[in-house]
Amino acid sequence: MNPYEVLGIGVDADDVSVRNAYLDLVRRYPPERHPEKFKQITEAYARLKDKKSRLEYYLFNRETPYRSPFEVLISYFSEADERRPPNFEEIKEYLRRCATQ
Amino acid sequence: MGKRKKRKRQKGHNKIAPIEVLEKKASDALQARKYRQARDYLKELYKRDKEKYLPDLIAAHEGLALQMINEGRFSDAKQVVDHLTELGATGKKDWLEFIVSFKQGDFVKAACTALRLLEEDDNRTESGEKLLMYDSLVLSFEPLDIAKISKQSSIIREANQVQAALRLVCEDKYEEAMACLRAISLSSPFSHWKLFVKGLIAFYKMEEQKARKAFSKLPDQSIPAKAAEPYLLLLDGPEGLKKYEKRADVLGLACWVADRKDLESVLPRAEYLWRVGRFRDSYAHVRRNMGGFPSEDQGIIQALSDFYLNAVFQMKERDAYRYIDFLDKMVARGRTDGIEKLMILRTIGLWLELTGADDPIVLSVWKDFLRWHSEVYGEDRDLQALVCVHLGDLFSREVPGDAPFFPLSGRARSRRPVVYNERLAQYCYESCLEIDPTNKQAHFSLLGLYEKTGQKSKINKKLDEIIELFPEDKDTLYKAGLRCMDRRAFIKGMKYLERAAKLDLLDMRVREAFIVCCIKAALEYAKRSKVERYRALLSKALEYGESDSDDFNLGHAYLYARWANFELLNNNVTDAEQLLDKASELARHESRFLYFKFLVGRLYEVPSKYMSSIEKRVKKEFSGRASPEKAMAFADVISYFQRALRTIPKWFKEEQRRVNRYIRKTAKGEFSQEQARVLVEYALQNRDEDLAWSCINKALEQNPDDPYFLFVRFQLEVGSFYGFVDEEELEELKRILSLAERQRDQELISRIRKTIQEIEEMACVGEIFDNHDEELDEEEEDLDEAVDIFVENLLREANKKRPGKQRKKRNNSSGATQLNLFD
Repeated sequence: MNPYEVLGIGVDADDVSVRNAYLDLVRRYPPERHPEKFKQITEAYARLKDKKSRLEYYLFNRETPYRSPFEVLISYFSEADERRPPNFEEIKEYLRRCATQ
Repeated sequence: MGKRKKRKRQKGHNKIAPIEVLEKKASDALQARKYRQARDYLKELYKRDKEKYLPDLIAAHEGLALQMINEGRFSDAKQVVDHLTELGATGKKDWLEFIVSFKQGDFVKAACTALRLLEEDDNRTESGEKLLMYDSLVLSFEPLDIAKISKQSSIIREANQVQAALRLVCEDKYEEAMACLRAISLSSPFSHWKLFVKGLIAFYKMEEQKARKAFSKLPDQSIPAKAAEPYLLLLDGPEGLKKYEKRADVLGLACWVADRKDLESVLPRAEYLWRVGRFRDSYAHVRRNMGGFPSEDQGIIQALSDFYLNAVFQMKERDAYRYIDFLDKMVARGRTDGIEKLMILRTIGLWLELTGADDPIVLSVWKDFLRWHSEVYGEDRDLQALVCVHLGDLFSREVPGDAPFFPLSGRARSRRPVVYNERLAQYCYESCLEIDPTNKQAHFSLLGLYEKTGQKSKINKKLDEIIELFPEDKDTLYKAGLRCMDRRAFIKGMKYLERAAKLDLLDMRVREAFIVCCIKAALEYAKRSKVERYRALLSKALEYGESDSDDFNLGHAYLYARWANFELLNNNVTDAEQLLDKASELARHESRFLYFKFLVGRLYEVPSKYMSSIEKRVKKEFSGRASPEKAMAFADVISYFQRALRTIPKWFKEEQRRVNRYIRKTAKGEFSQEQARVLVEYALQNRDEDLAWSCINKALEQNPDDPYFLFVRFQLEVGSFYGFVDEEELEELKRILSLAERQRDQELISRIRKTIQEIEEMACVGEIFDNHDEELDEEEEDLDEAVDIFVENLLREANKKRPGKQRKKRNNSSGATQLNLFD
């Protein structure tokens, strides 16, 4: 996942915002309880910690963790912190669609 | 013939057809499930005798309606069901009416019909059909009136509970939803709905395991099971995608579940195109149908853009080339807007770098990128500088200068690296410094380039410039200090090195360089009898040295020994004696210290009157029975001076011979594996192959599986003739590697790996030549015989010269004289 998404910051974030976001997340996901998430956060921070790193990521990043477009959606969805259910009308429509397809 | 005409003719034909014929045809059509034909014949028969043919006519209609439902022709099916009503049919007609309403999405009507059917409950309906009826009660999403249908009151209550639970889930009231579900028992016809709602609750509460468990237990083909598929796809990630990748309907619904309804019409198709290898079409499809694509902003569109523009680096060469060509054409035809053009140019630039495109092309793409970036975002000097340094690094990379070996001799040549494109690298770094004159990375990279190309005056100039700009940079100060030492500008060098040492006192490399610089400067002063100066310098050197170290540069014992010699140069005998006393107290290995003191005195040209006594002591040390400890000490000292001296004086060669004699004498006696290792290293350094062999053979007698001695033996046998290493020898080398890995001897492991790699590289080059030879053979079978003879002779000569093979044979015959590999 894109390091900006991991840290939950915008592409125009400055050094201070990046650091604050990193510290917040590290507090929320300590390594002993969330080793994978912590690793992801630390790697994302290393990529964005200063302007030079951010520019290097922007210019020279050749990586993509996905193998197909749909994996982007899946990853994006699975990395979300929370999930909000649809409203009642929407779930009605969804279930009815499933029934008629 | 037109349909109408045909029907007319058929009607006419029926009119005259006898009843028996029509009956036969109708019966055959019914049996063959040709319900439309059957219905037409039976209609005719029905006109003649309504009572007799009504049941068959209804059966034909029912069959036809079912056929249409199965084919998804629900409105046609509805017309047939209406005919059934006109005919006054009952029984299956209601079920058909239900299924048509259900499939047409009229769930309220379907639920009403279902309730009627369930109320009648004539036991004719199958369990699957019943399940669908219960589902319709939920999907109607209408509060069902219990009073109307008293027989099914519990069912209605449960359907209402499922609806209420779903509503509560949508309102984030998960506990209340769970409470609603409690009213539904496991044996209830709504138990699968209960499981589905439980799955939903777990899904939205981020309890993925629970959700997965609930969804995967749903009965196949049920409506909740269908509705759970997109959830399972999202829960299982890329693994789930493998299962559903061909199901566009599930992918579409997954977009809906992921709250990205806008992607429902784009992503399933894009996924399909990507999966079948139509990468360009997939990009074009997304580009055409997704607003804001590609984007550099945050969000899923940005993530998709990143994917589409970086995926090329994971593609096979042919696909990547086509994909890049497609992107390039879009830019060339002006079909891209600011951001897209920028992103594409970046991708093309990075791709060209990887594929080894012509340097000017790479440069021009990045120039385009920078120009376009300025237009889109305004000037960003940091970004421009970074691109310049990146290109400078790309062009200043080192590449092997020579072919790895001369194929006919099979001999490895040293692969001295050369800078890939010095001119362009310098241009890029200088461009960067024009944009940002204080760009540290560019200064250092340019310095690195000068170092790689050996431009000494430019190196010195650049170092001074860098130190002025970055006075606190340890590495620059260190490098500048070393360069000053090279130029014999010792005082300046000391200044730089001391500053560097103060910045990091733990860096022994810097401290050692500072001490060496002090010693060199002190020697100059000692020779000019500037006593106070050399004393001050040596005091300074002692500050940065180590009191208990055996290092010849850092150890206080050895520094005092040097200082004593400087005093002797100036005839300060008392001072010298005091210093030597101090040194002797600190020295831990007497023979080692004595021999160092003697050699350093001779090197500093201490008058012979002060050297005679020590010379006698050294002579005594070398006499008598040889001991491995002393041999190691002498080897250590002489090796240090060999490394340190640029030109070796005549008398020193005699010392080398003396040490060699002593070590050979030692080699005849007993010694440990560790001592053998030191002796072998010494022998190899001095190209004394006989000595090396005797130590290796002895060490391997003690331990035949010692990887160090096996590897050295291999090296001595093969020499630099890697081109002639056969499979068996390579296997043996791999066995030695595994032995070294077991011992975790990292240095040895990396040496062996490097050798294996070089041998394998040679084999590849050899194969190329072999193949080329084969091609030549095919094309020119009548090659001049003289050439063959010439090549054969060369090969024979090369084999003769290859000492390893000879060595192998000689090893087998014990006591044979060994040839010197290096002569």
